[in-house]
Amino acid sequence: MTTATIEKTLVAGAQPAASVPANNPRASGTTARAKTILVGFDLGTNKSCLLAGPPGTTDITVSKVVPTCVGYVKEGIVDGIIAGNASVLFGEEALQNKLHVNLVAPVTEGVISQPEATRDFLTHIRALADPTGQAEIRAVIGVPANADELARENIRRCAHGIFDRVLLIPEPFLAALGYRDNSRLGQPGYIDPVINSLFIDIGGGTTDLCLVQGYFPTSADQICIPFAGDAIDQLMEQELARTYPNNGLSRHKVREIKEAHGYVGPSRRPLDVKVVLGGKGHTLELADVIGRACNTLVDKIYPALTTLISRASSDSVVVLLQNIIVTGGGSQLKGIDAVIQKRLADDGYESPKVRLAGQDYKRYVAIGALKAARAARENQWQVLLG
Amino acid sequence: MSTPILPTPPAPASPWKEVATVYRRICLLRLRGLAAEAAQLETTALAAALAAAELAHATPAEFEQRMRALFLAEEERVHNAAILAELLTPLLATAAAPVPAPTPVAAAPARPVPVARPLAFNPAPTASEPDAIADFIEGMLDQQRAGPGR
Repeated sequence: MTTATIEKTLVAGAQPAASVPANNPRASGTTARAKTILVGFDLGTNKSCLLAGPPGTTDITVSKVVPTCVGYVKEGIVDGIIAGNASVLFGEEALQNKLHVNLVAPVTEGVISQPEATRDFLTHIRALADPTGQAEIRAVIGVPANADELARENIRRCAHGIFDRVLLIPEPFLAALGYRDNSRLGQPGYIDPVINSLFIDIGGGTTDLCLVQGYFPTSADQICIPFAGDAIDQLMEQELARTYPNNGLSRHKVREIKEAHGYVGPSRRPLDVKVVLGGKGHTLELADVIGRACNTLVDKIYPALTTLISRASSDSVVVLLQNIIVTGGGSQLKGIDAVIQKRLADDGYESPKVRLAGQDYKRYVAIGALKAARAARENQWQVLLG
Repeated sequence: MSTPILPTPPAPASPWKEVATVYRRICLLRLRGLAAEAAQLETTALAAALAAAELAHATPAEFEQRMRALFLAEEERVHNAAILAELLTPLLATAAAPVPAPTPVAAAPARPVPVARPLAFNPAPTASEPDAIADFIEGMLDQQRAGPGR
């Protein structure tokens, strides 16, 4: 699915966002706010990450990873079942109460598919960043590498009235910015990822690859593949249905199995996984179910990876090959760095080094977004009109 | 006549020991303001030691993790040694009067690395980073203003 499939009705009558000149009276906002809070926000298909802090400091006052889901409480739920008798739940709370809510995923394959649920979700995010509701919120929001103007406008429409100003920046660039460790700049062997790197961000809905080489990546520097974590889950479900018909495992359970045991490379048989079906414990051997599904991802990533490598200049490509970084949830697949590196080496690429972003992978886009929010000039922020 | 006890041959040295020794020397050189000598060691002895150490690891991730941990440990060791030297120097000078005063430790260049997880969000951006990021953002906005043809 590409962003071109978003219904045009989503932007009917939309007013374009404007970059506000520094001297424009509107630069101060329609209402005077006592304080400003900067937000770095990664709106992911499955998980979103929020970082917030005041301008002019390096303090982070809010740091949260929130499952990207909204739960609308079903009719007829007895009082007291839902904490605070809330009518709408978000994130973990929605998932924990999934029996009592209608779960809605605001984002599908990296793009907004449920605008109303997205607005509700962003309202929740705003409340996390500013419980008082009094502050001016300026948010840098990560967008998929292939997001066109239509997709960006949909985000702005959903954010209208929730965030006071926004700046939409492609996620791979933000990941490089977030991953950059300023304390190591100049150290031997440390290659600044903003100067020369190739990021592979494997999310839930999309896998984004991006060359970051000291200038803002153009469309030629980025490739978005609509195959990522969710697609692996779907493949696993299909494989499970073939091997263990009527297994009754939910998509959520399949994802849990993937997150616990996912791997790429040669078969890791036997891989026994205990599941509860119909109340009874069963041990399923799932090595090939998991391996086939996960290896499909590498088969999709590799051609895009070599395409981007071919676009790098000959002066930069040798160093670039030393700085290929896998981030996102997919970076947790066991062996993914070694498998990609080996394929590159076997194909004759010069001393490739593929590394994982590490345990902080969930936060790098948001970290980069908050860095960008702190650095953005006044006239770069976009005021949401309409 | 007793059988002579032959000395046990020493176990082959871990390649990381050489990395630690060289990197420690580099940190000391930097501390003393000898940046050129430090850079020379980085590109020669350290590079060779790291190449040998990397062969001992199955995955790049393991090698990277070990290298970073070792660098942090040696930087901390040298930093602590420098502090100890500062504290002890005056004591030693008064304890042994005829001994000429030791050369004071030169004002150190910026301490190599704070003790922090290398991949954690760095709370202290450099002075020029915000400008550089703002320039990047301007480049993005220019592309968007130019339209989808670019």
